[in-house]
Amino acid sequence: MPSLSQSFKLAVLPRVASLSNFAFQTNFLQVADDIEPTSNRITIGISESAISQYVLNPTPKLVLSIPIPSTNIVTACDVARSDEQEIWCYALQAGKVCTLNVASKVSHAENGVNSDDVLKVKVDDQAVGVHVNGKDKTIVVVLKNGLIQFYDFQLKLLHSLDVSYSDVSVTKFFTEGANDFLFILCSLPEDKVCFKLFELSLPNYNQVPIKELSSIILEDFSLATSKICYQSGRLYRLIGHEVLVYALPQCQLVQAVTLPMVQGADVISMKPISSNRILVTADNKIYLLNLTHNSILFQRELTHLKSFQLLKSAVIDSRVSSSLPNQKTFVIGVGTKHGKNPTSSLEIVNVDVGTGTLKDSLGKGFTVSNEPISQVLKPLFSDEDNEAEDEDNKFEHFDFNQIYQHLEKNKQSISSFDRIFLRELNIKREHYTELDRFICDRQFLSNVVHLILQNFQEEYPKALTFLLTHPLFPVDCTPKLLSRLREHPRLFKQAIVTCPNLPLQELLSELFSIENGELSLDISLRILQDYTTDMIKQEVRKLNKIDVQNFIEFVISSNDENAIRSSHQLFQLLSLVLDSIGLFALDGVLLDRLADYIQERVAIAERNSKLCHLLDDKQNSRGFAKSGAGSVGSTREAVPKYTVEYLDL
Amino acid sequence: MNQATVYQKYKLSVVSGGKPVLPRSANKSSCNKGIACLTHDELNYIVPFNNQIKVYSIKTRQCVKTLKFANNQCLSEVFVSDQATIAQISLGDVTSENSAQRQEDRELTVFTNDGRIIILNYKGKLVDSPKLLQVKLDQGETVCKVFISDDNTLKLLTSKDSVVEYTYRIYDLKIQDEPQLSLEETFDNVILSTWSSNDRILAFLQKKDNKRNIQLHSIFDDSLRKNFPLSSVFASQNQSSSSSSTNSKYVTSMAIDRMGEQLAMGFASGVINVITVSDLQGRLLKWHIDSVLSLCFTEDGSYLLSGGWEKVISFWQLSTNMQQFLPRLNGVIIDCQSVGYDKYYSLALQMTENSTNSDFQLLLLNAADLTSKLVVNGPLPVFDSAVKNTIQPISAVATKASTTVTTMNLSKKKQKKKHLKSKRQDYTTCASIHPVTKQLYFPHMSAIQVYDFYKNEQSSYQYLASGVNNSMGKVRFELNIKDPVILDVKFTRDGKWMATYEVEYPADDLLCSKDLVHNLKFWDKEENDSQWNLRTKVVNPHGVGIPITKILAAPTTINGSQGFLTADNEAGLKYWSYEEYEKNWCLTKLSLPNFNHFSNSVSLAWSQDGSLIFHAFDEKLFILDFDTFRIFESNNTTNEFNLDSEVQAIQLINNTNLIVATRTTLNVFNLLKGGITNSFDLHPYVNGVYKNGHLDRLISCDEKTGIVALVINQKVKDEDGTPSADYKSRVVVFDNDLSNKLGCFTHPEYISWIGWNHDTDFIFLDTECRLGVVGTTVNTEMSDEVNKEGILDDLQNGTNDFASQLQKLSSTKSTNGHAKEDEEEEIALEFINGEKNHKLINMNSFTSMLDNFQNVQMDTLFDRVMRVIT
Repeated sequence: MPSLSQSFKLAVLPRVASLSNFAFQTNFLQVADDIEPTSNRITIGISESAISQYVLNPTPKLVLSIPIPSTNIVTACDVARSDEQEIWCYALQAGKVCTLNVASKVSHAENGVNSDDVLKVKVDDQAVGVHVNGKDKTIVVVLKNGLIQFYDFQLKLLHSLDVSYSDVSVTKFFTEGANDFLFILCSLPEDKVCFKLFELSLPNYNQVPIKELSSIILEDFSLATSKICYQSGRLYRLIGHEVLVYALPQCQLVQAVTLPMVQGADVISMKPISSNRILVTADNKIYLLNLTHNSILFQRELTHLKSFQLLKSAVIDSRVSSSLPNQKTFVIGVGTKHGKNPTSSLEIVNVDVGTGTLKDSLGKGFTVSNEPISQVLKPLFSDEDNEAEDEDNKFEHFDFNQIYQHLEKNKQSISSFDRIFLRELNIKREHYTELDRFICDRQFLSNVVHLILQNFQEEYPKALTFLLTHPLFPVDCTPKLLSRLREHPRLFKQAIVTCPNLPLQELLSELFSIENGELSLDISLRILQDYTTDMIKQEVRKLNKIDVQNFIEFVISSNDENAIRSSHQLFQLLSLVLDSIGLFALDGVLLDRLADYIQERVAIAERNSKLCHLLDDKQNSRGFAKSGAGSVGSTREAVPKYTVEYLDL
Repeated sequence: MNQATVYQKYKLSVVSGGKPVLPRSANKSSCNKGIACLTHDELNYIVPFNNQIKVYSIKTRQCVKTLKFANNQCLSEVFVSDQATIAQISLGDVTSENSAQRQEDRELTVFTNDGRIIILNYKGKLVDSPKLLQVKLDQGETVCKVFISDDNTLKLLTSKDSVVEYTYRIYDLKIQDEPQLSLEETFDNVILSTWSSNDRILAFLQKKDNKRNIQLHSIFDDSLRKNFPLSSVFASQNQSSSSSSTNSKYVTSMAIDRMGEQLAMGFASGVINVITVSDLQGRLLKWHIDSVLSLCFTEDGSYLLSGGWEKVISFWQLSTNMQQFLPRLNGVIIDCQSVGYDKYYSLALQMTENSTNSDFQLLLLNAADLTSKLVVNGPLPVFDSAVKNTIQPISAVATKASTTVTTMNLSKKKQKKKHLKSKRQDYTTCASIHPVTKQLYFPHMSAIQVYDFYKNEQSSYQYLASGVNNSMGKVRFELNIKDPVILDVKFTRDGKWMATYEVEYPADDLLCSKDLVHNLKFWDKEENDSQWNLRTKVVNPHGVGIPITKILAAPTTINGSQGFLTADNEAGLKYWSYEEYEKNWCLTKLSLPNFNHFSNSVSLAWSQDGSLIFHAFDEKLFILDFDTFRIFESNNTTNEFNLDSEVQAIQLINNTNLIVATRTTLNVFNLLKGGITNSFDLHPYVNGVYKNGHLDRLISCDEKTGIVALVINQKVKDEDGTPSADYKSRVVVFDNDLSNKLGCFTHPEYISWIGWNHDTDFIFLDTECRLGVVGTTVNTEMSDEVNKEGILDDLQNGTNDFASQLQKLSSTKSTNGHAKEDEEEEIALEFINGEKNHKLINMNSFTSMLDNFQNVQMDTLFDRVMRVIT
């Protein structure tokens, strides 16, 4: 089942104005791209403070940190491992000076990186994206002015490509198959955006390490007001309270979903989490959404925070491993507390993304439809050359609200209640027939039953009898119904015979406590019909031992005519009861009596079977004699044929 | 007929199927039943169907021309609106003055039972308004046969049904401007009639004053007039009175040779009596052991052909009494004729094992080597109960599959009464469409018929269960033996596996007679193989004596779609899957039944991602989790729903809406909202009409777009308001949440089944075996819902669409150099044109399109071409 855990704190952020202002704070925190659902280390570039690495388990703690000057803003940060070495690469901006920094540390060594070891190179403009490729020992940097530059770990410029658009705002490096890809979004004037997709082929320095796969200009796409995220071939764009989904590589719009829950929220963020599923936060609420089904798989309010924004999520790609994929992952975000001068902290939320199937979404849809849910039965053909004009097929229409109000006014008097009920709903018989199929509003039925049960105690209106026969008798009214009606034998029996959805537990307890043979037959029939043997056994196990003993006593000692006639069902129930509690749970005396009783029954059965054979033999011999006698037999009057198909015990 | 009310998108047309017409099969007094005819050059064979006339080439065994009634206004008026049937087909335009102008090589004259004469051309494009003439007939009189002499004189033979006997009349038919009839002779109290193959001599068996007489009559002149009592024939046999039962006296068929010299009579007991007309001496030919149903002399009069229940045609050499056989025909031989101057034998067979419909098959045999030249039949559905106008041949013994001498008149009346009175009129049938080949599979008793809707031909017929009928005909008391019956057929989504459910019946009058055996069989098929091979057979899959009520194929996400779900009538469910390590189908999951509650109202649906199973049992709907195979446990949603009456059908649409049809209502249940969003009143149309669970056959869902088609059958009242046995039906096409009707069509016949063809159309079958289509010729516009489905598809199938697109992109790009300006332009252009312009067009691109070229309308064709080239 999909779920979101309560958040836990990774670290408290320094009390810097920029980090506490939830309008910008996400821009000042750059989480390295290397996180996976299983990773234990997270590297975060915290502007004006440090580049810090944390471990999550067993307890979240800071393991390593490279301080940066307090005037510097981290604009991008990435970490990758290469030959026992961890390469940290981060881009800083101080005023108009932009630098690219690389630090390396020996893997698993805890002694940290010396800030003197950090290599530094000046770049032309703010770095929007940084990607460290540990395998090929390359760093790819995307600059805001539209340059894509390739460096080695010594920060030697290897290659540079101008994408010919400036103002690059979104970059994303991703791997698909064995290849690395990169896409960028550049803002153009008049709310246009250029989408460019590149393939990176890094080891080839003789050739061009990058090639452009597609370039598309999208109109009516304001990057400034949108939140963008990417996962497995889909680009999600949140604008206002609408999510637009684009399919790569051509960046075509495939879906638009309105998210009603982010409406009116001040702080909104969005991150992908698994295929078709995204996380959305609105103020301090976090939602796990399935965009195929348009359902809220899980939601949680982080009450100790005023706002929570997502920074980075560890995406589960469910396309890769289809057989029981891992469903557990986590997401890192920044939370800001309530109060005038709030502190912000890095928070981790554990996520179970679920299976992505319909079963997770069942009943959790969020689509708001403009059409009211109508419970009114409509005719199939409106044009009506409908010749079905006879009584059976007449079409009826009720205003259920009005009828309910009418009934409510008359809740004091049984007779007027009944009169209105029968007249307004045009009920001809005391019980439900197919003519009453137009009374199908479940809400109305539920309201009326509640109204009756609340207002009448000693005597119930006839309407209740009718409702008990209605196949849509509301489920929420059935618990404790039997105990209420116990004083009214007619209604009690009616409920047992016709009322749907009676709880098994109540039925069983009624059965075990009742002494009336006829009713016990009805109840046992009802139980056996509505519930499977498994369910019955499970429920019997929960019951009181005394009750069970009473029931056994009742069955084996009853001489009642009716009980004997219904013995088939009762025996079946008895065997179920014995199965579920086990023979040894009974005390010795009862066990003896039970054994005697069974013996007796077996004797009867044997006798009957012998008799049956006897009859069979007799018939056979007659048939034989007849054929042997030949023509003599044919003149004799034919023996009337009879068979014994079934002998009662 | 095309009455789209809301959108013009969907259309209904009846384009395929139908059954061969044997107009005189209903006339039990007529011995010559078949009316199919050879063309003058003996290269083609013209076969009338109830919805078209088909011309087959004998050489290639293929249909070379179809004249569809629905496609021509005049013909559709005559045959569809007025429900006339073809009574006779003659080559050439018989109305023309002299025989030289008759143009036998391109025109034919069709006589209908209600006296219409239509001239059609069977070469070239059918003329828009063919010549139509009307002959005025008496009330109740139907055209039986038109005799044409060499000098173009026309004689019209009509018949009129009275209670037991028939009245025949011969008219002289003169056609100048208006057809003129003048009565020549009337024959009353006719029991049997026949005529010689050269249309010169008529023979009648008449009953007068409790005596039976035989009357011979030459048609165009008075050369032969002979009348003699039947008893004189018997007398000449010196038959002992002891062996004469009713059967041995009851004449079931008759034939007369060209010269009027020999008359053959077949009796219900199986004996054939050949009488020399000149001296009334007869001789007996004994081989048949049940009623002789068809007789004919060859043109030269040296051979007599006889056929009956044995499914064997027997050739009697009359000079030597030597006999030859052709056994193992597909059905009981109800008519045989020698055509084309003894070049061919034309047989009409009836597959009597299906008692719910008259399944006719026409067979053309080469007379020289008795090889079959042509086999012609329509779809062979088995309806739930016998449809009107179903006739079973006469047998010596009364059974379900036959009528006897005594029950004949009774049963006909009874059947008619039943059709008029009874409320439960379930003529639905079971059929399935193969998801890949799109062929229709009809379970036909122990066999399965594969019918190609687009080619309009049967493509194969395979026995799936072993029974007596498979190899030979059943006679007399053997007719009581019940062969195994295939009740359901389903395919996996990839079309590689077929699952069938059959019931075997033990012999009668045994203690175990009621213990039916239920079999579940799994079949696969080699590529290019026409036959399915049995891989796994499960006897009594749900326990002894427990039937399977529903079979459902697994969605593609489950075990590579190689799985089936079966449900029984006790709410038990079993999941079968093909397991690679066992190389066999295995029972992998099951949920136990509730042993105390039985119902046939069982429906199943499965979510496309495979996670949830919806199981409707009686009036409850359960949601099961496929992983645990138990009722889905969830804290905030209910997993069990009560409906107002027994659930008849459920369909899951677009993974969000569950359509639940009960006996009284049609509901849309929104799974994401957890409530009913729309409901319709079905009670007037459905309640008590169909057997439990059979409404499922009349609801179908297009799984790609979520469009739903629902069939409503209604009885038609006469003009004066009395109920008749006729039906009309309506097909309603809904969008995916039943909020909009996309179309509502009427069809003048009861529709027995509708199914989605795994493309954009719905195919339906009516009780006349005609196949129709309700579909769009243009793809629906891409709405949000459609797109959503697309997303779901590529994530489910595991086929990584995005990755492959990426791969394609990266491989097509040149590997060196920057993306230059012109390249960029190219990319932009590529985007505009869509990414499919890499598709190669070669000579094979269009072949799939030409497969089913016949029924294609112009806009469909255009659409198909566009689909190939874009």
